[in-house]
Amino acid sequence: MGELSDDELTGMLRAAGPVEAPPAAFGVDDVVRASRRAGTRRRNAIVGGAAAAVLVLGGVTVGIAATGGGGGQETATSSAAGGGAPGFGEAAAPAVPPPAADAGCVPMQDPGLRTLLDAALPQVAGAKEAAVPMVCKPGGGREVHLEVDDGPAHGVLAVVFTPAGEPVEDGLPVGWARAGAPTASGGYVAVTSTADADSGAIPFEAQLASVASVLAAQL
Amino acid sequence: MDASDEREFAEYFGARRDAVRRTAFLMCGDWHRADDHAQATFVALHRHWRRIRGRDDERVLDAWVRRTLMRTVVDETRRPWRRERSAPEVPEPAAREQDAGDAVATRAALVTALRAVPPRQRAVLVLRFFDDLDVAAAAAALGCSEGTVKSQTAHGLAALRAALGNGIDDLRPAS
Repeated sequence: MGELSDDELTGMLRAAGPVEAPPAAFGVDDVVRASRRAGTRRRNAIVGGAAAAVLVLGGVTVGIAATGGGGGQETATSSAAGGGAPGFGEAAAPAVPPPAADAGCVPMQDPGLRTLLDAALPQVAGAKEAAVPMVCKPGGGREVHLEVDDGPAHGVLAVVFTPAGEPVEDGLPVGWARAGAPTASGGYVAVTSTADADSGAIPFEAQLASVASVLAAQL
Repeated sequence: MDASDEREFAEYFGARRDAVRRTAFLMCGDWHRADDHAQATFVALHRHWRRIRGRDDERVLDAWVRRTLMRTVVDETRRPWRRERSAPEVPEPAAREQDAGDAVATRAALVTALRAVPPRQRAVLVLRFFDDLDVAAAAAALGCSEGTVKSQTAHGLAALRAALGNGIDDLRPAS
């Protein structure tokens, strides 16, 4: 017999009928509890972010003082080199430690990584978290997904840190822009922006490379 | 949310939960993960309920849920530690399924074959042919253009046909 036509195949898909589902593993109470927990985590992250910002400012001040008031360029240089007086990255890192390896099954919104992202791209500081699944992440994997607005452009900005030794995702779907960089710890950080269907452009497309570079020095 | 919002959310949840779970299952092929995806979608909906419900349009609400679910499922497949691998070969419909009736066997074969279709193309096929959305609604759910939906449909059908392979003749309706 010949190959099925598209019409035959789509007819079969439509006629296949509903899938018989086993009993649901969650009810409305589970959803409401999880939602409230997520809200609490979000509030804690904001408080933590404010504290981290204070520490970062303190670190920059110390950096300037330690280099004899030589200005921001020296502070940035020492930070990028990873030695000498404490700079931006060094001051920020202790304030936002990575999650414990045994983090369990949680929504993939890492408050520490969010704090670093807010510092690297202040325009997203108030952005809402995008919906992501609850999954069991291996130790070291970190992610943040935000619903962002960039002028008329809007969509989802995602930062994914892949620890050393894990395969890095590739491919670039339609409507996406991505920048990535190897991190100080030997891993890889990817910053991806997805445009919404009715968005005229990809949000923060021009800033993705610089954000990835800043985050890479701190991860 | 106040008590009225909570009651409205509970009503919406009760009416849509199983449909959302089924769509998630068709996308990921595993009921445990489908429950995770559906729950994550409803948690997100609960967090944004007042803003989304405020539009007072059930279709907007459904579109938001579909879109969030699709983003959730497709995004998971991009994670390096959870990325799906396309099955090189799809098992032909088992004799047990054939015995249970042609419709069940066909559905089982199609659902199995769907797992070999790349995630974005699979999402298009599920939305258009299982959930019966038109091109515009599928594009809205996936956050892409209608042209992309059309091309992904064509590619998805080709991938599905290839995945069905030799088992395709067993699925052809008797003429």
